[in-house]
Amino acid sequence: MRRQRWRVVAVIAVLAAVVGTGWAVQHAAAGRKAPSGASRPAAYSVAVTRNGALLRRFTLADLHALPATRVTIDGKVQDGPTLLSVLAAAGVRGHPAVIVLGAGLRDSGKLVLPASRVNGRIVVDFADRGTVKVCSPQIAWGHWVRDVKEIRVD
Amino acid sequence: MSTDSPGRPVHETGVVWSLTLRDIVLLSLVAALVTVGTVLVHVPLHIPGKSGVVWIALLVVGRGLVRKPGAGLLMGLVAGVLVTLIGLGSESIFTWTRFASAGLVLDATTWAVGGDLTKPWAAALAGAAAHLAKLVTMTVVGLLLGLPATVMAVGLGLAATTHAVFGAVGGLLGALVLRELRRVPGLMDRP
Repeated sequence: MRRQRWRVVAVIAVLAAVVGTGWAVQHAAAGRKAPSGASRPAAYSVAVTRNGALLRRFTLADLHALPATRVTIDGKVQDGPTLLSVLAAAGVRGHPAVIVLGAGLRDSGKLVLPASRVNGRIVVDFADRGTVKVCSPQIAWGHWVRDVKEIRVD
Repeated sequence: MSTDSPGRPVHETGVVWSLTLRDIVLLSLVAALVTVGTVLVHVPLHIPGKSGVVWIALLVVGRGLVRKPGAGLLMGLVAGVLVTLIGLGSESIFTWTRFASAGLVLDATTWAVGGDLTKPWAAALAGAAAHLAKLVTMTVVGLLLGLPATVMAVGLGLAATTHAVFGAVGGLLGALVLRELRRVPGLMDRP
């Protein structure tokens, strides 16, 4: 009985330690602010490529500099540049077919958009965690790509 | 040793490779319910870990019905593989690791709390631990996938807290369901 009590105490201690570590890591990361003052991870970027060639690599600051749009999906506001404006800033003209690739941690990590589906309603949204996701009211929630790493243009 | 009714001992019987047909049916059923809950139920709440209330409750119910060390891991693996396969196209191929780690930690904490998940405090503790294990696994997999550590760190403290809370709530719900299921003749494992 006494041994079990100690096991329970140990479990509670481990849980508290994990949660405490989470907060400590979060505060440590927030302390590393970018020069602009925003707590944005500098290591994160999104590449726009065509046939394997890099057209442009966007940092979060680059994406913030683009004209932003705002859509509300499931009651949550998604804001950021449109996919089309990101492509235009990378030198891509028109409405090409696009493959969006993400880290694949929270979703499949891949969204294939034929040219007919690429429009101004697709948003490159700034997620709270300091990455971007590609979403749209016309794309099912389960097919959104989070932590976008690359946008391939056909 | 704990009791699930006065004078009635709760045993962790055998291990996962001594499963009976009843155990396999129960574990598969619960794993299938976890899959349905994960793939089909989308809670429009923007709080990290909110979906855990449903699937942690189901894992606790499954582990409470099959009192064998390793049953949680097996259930987590089956659920994870099913979610990964059925949610193909919308789920990460690493989704199974979340459920497997949750099942493994559920096994460990169930042992630590004495094996009786019908006790609300025990199930809440086990649920919180299992759900936190899922978050830790996701963080580690994210780092392995090349996401910057600074990205993984954003909101980690809040996510850890909400995962613990939702996991505990899921565990509590699981305990309540188990208490009701205990009245169903032949359903609970009686060593």
